[in-house]
Amino acid sequence: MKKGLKALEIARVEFGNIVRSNKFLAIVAIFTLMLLSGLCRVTEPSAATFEVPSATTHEVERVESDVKLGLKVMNAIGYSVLMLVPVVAVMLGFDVISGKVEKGIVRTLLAQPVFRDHIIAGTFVAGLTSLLVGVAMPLALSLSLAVLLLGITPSLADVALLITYLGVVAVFALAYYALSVFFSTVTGNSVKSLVAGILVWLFSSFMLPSLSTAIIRLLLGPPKFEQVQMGQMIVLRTDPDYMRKFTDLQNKILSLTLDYHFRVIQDQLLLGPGIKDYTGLLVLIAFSLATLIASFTVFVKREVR
Amino acid sequence: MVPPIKTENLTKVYKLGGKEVRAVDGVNLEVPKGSIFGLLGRNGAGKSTLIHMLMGTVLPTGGRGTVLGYDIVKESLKIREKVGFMPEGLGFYEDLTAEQNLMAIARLIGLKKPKESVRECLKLVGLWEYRQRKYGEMSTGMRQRLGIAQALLKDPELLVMDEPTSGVDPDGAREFRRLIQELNKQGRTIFISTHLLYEIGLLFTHIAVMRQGKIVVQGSVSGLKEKLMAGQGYVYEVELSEPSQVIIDRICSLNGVKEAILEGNKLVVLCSKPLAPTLLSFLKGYGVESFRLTKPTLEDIFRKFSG
Ligand SMILES: Nc1ncnc2c1ncn2[C@@H]1O[C@H](COP(=O)(O)OP(=O)(O)O)[C@@H](O)[C@H]1O
Ligand SMILES: [Mg+2]
Repeated sequence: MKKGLKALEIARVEFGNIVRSNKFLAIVAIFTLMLLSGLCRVTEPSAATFEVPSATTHEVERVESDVKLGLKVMNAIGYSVLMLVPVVAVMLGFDVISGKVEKGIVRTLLAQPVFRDHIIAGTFVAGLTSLLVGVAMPLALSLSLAVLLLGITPSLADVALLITYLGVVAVFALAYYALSVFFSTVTGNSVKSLVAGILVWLFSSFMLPSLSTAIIRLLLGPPKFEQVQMGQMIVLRTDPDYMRKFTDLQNKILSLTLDYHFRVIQDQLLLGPGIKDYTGLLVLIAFSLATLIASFTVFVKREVR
Repeated sequence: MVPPIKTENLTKVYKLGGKEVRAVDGVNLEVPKGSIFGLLGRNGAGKSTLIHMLMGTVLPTGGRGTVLGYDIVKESLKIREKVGFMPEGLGFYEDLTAEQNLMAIARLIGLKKPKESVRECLKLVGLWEYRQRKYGEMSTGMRQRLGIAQALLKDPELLVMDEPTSGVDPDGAREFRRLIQELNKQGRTIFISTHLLYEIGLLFTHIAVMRQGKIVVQGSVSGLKEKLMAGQGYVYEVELSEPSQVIIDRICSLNGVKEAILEGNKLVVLCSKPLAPTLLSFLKGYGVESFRLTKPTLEDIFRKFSG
């Protein structure tokens, strides 16, 4: 058998095992329900209409008529996705290598005419496929349920937007997945790797945003104010220069997290006419590739224990 | 003819935080064709490391070796294609059935008729009725049998098993002995490592005892017993119908007898060399009912050499 075929054979078996597992089914079910509950909010009557800031009135019209629904959907689920996707990715990735080592599957595979490269390559292929399915299936399921149950009819533009969105979400998931696999490979211990993955997620989603504010205050000192004449009144306003520095620094600090790069892309999509700045996406892809290659190298170099 | 397994000065040194561990230290091993070979040694003696080097999953730091004539470093893939290998602590995919797991491996090996091979092996180890059971729901004994089935898929002329009976109950161990003997009768060479002689010690035709990475003794079990007796003495047990205390002194005066004890009608004689004919003719007048040489057990050999 050819080298690549062996890796694919391992990937096939591995994928079969993953999609049959209770963990996978549970993740898909929970993710689907959360998204669906987010989608239900689309039908809520709201006082404030959804506004699309744009340069020309012409574009606003187009967006409103064509992809309004898609934007509404994204808006409704955006927050859940940002919160949940990292968790799903970590749950899928934390025991990918360590679990196989702990359960002796690596030993059994290595008793056959295969090399360690085949095993980890096969594992990656299966893992990435399962990740894609784990993200795409709940989105597709919840959207079709929404169409059926809530009577929403998306336009072609809506669907296109949502597919783009799905792609971006998949890249975001990939980054967290790759990180989680890396922890799994390096620690060789599922518990440690799960804890590490969850810690990174907590840190970048909750702790760093607040911490960064404190850090910047330490660096820049307390906010400066300036007096502005507004008609009859004199108003105290934060110095725009200070504000600019503050946001710059905060973005610099938060750009250390994966969440930031995803949010930059998500915000662009929410604003309307598509992605203009692909930096965030590239950063996420580069990060994923680098961590996957690192895991590959670590695993291949290691001897049986 | 090349023996199924042969190593020369095979060595593995692990570096752990600046400290060196000589897990396997200059091992010269030769496993004869058709034997049931026991690699014995306490935990940490280096058995698993040696086996992994033979299978090519751990690289030696020194020496060399061949398995079925293939070089363990350059041709390890060929070795793992031909040799049935049951590693220590092996496992399978929990959410796949026994049959699905074996099918996956059969395809990985590239067997021509995977379905047939899987069926045959499941039947051979007695798992055919349980083929639809998920690995995650199997008992220890069933898991062990799946481990053996996995090694048999290749229809191997050499079977290598690392601690195959650890955690298996006595019934399982008996079943295991029967299977190994059957496989051996078919002409397969079998190489088994263990730290427990209990239950499977009786199987071995040949053994090697490992201690701190070195092989301290190896050879055929009968030859080693002979050697041990030559070193420690030959013990004869004689049952007499007319025992008498006076024979003790006279026996002890015989050339080669070190000690003699009479307990009831049982006489025990310890000699420094084989003395059966002399003793028999001497004891003629005392009504010999039974006469036997008590051989040392494998346990005795193991205890003497394993430290
Ligand atoms: N991957 C490894 N790294 C470092 N030391 C190891 C490794 N594998 C085994 N050892 C050490 O080598 C020695 C022999 O271990 P092993 O071959 O597992 O013995 P056995 O199988 O006889 O119990 C032990 O001291 C063990 O700690
Ligand atoms: Mg061992």
